Amino acid sequence: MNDDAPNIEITDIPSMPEVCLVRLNGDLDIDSVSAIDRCFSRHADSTKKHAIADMSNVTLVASAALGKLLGIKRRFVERGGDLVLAAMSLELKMKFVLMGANKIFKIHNDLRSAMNAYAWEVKHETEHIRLSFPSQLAIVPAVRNFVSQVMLHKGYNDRDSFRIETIVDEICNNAVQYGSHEEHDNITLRIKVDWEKVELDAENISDPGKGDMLRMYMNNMKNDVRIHEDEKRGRGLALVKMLASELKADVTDKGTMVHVTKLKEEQVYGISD
Amino acid sequence: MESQIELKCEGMKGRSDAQVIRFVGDLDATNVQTVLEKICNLFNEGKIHIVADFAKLRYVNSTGLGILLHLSKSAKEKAGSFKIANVNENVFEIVEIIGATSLLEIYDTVEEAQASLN
Repeated sequence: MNDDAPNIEITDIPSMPEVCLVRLNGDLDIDSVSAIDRCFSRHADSTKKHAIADMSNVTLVASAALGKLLGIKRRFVERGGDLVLAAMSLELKMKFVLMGANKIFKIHNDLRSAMNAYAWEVKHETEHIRLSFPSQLAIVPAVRNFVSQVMLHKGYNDRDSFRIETIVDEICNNAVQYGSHEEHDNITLRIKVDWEKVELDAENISDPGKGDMLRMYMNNMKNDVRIHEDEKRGRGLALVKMLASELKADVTDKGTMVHVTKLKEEQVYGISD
Repeated sequence: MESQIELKCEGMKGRSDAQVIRFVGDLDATNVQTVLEKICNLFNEGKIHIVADFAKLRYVNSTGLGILLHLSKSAKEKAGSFKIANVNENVFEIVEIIGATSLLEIYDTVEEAQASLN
């Protein structure tokens, strides 16, 4: 805590050198304004382009202090970052909503969410998810629903999330159909999601004989995916091929790895953020 | 656990050989057999004209589409029909990509599908 600014403390975040953590305390009233300003000028130098304010111990934000925070936010925005608020009490959050300040400041539920959002939205970092599950059809709906929700959470639109859900469903169904059903022979789905694309790898352990069937199917798969009236199944990977930006399958004696890349819709049509 | 799908069946005024079936939920590999059996039972009861209302069908995959085509073919073989209405945008895209729009009878509304029976 700074002696001259008892309501504010600014520290570094070791894993994010360009981000500072601002701990605010107690009542932020008119008397706090100059201290907040002084502390920011002294400790949040130009190497910091983003600030996360920990509001968990703040009991009141007067309009003068809110105006000061807005001014500080503007400085960070000019540096290509932002001042975001985290871990507010419900009572304080309600006051922010009433004042309309929630439309100006990004408010995160906790510090971890604020840091994750920075890594995702500003640094455009990639996130990795790995799921391992038994080779059973009944588990696939939960897997595809989970991935769809992740995509929505990551800012992919409803249509893209639906397409990715379909891709996950089809490649996982395929992994179940052509894979071993032995107790410990799980299917592994790896998801690598970033700002502009998602990469999916579905890997199974081969069931002897079925790998050859899949290899033949992949070799014969043409761009024309049209289904026939007397065909009950077998169009899954062809559908994936049409929905995805890239589809590759590596069939070996040990197992099958299906790799899919799907660009975000804006990227496909050349619209950048 | 299989995906949730509910089929709500309603009769059609003046048509003892027809039913409206409202699909609610997701149609995929985990529940196609249940759907197939339920509709085949209706065919066997003489309900050979089916209007499937997809207004609340959120999701369908390639296996689900395969079953819909199979039902359409079965209905035709019994001199009946299998018509689909109210398909949402996401589901319609899958139907279109897989080339099923030319194989399935698709209508904008249940009323239009019903009117086509007369």
